[in-house]
Amino acid sequence: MKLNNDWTFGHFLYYACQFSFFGLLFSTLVQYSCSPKILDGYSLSVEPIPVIMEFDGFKPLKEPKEGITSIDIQKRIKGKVRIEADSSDHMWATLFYNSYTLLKWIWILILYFFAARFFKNISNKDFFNPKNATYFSIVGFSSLIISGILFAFHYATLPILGEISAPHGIQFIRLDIITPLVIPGIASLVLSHIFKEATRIHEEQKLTV
Amino acid sequence: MKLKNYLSLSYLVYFLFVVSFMVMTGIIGYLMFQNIMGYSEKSHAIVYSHPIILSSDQDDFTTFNQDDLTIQLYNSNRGSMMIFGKPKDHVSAYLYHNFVYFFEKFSLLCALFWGSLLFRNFAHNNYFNAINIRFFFLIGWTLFLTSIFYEVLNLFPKPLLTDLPFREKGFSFYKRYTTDYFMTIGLISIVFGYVFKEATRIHEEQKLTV
Repeated sequence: MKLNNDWTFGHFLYYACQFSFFGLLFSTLVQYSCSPKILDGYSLSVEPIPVIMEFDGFKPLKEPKEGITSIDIQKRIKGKVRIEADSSDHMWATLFYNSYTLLKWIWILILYFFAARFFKNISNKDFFNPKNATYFSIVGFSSLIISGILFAFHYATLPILGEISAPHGIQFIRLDIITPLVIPGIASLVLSHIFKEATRIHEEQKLTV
Repeated sequence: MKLKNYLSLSYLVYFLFVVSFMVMTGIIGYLMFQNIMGYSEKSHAIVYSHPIILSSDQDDFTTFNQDDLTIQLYNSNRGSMMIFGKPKDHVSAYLYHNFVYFFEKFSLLCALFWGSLLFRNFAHNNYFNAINIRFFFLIGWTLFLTSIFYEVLNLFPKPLLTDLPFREKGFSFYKRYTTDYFMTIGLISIVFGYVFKEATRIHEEQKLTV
């Protein structure tokens, strides 16, 4: 394998996506297959759980300075939580808090994998390869499906966190995982259609020539 | 006008962009009107929904036990705050924070506008031309430079926020702007600009050959 002499921005993106894909795949496999924290029953989730909380402790700060009547801190805050417990006693919670992160990583892996393939074609000046359209439609459909599942996770009742009474009036409302994947998903499907159409025109022109 | 032509994905995205643009314009217009009218009031929002990072140094806040569980709250939480006061007494802070608040919204508005024009072209089967490339670059650079601008702003002290007492219940408040998706979407748009530029060039070459 020789280093490509024709070094372009496309090549850079191709290698960046390829390295990110393999790096992420390796770290995800390691984390989920042999995480000592879960195996030892130490933590319920491989990663910290992103949550939306409500905290009633913020009272408006009145007259802190001349010309300032009050400083209000909104009670809804976003943060991360780790639950330490024996995972065998809380199987549902373990499954819940690990499955959405796994889903998130799967989506990112799909994105990197097909982005690498697309940029490989682009760097080889193969713009009108029919596979490009397929890559975009796979990314588009997976974005729509995963955003639907994440949406369900976002509004689901939180196991353990939704039931406990935390100090200082903290209430755990829901998971902070809502990501706007719907519009990129649809846009990706549109791009798939464009590349399909472009490939068709290109093929027609080649035949005409 | 046939309904059938409008039932395509490109039209769906185009309409989504147009509706988002109109809704955003309405909201921004309303907020700007409110802020202009509130300038002479005795108590009005000088700083409107400013992002903050809260961290606590209290141990009982960050870790607590219940039954067989230990819950650990990470010491860096994101929230937002508002500062009310007399805008006339803090003119520079009022102008600065309004500019910073609305600048992000205007960038988004521009991106939505160019995005709607881009997808209108796509919906009309007009894929490879110089205007589409320009729209990709305009969206990309606007969002990318906006995110850079906010990162640079974070390096400098902000008027009014630096000299206020920001400690309550053992919390520290670090004030920073975040433009979450701007940089990613901006970079992706720039990359697509290059891809479309190259595809258009090849397309034009082939048309000439034919």
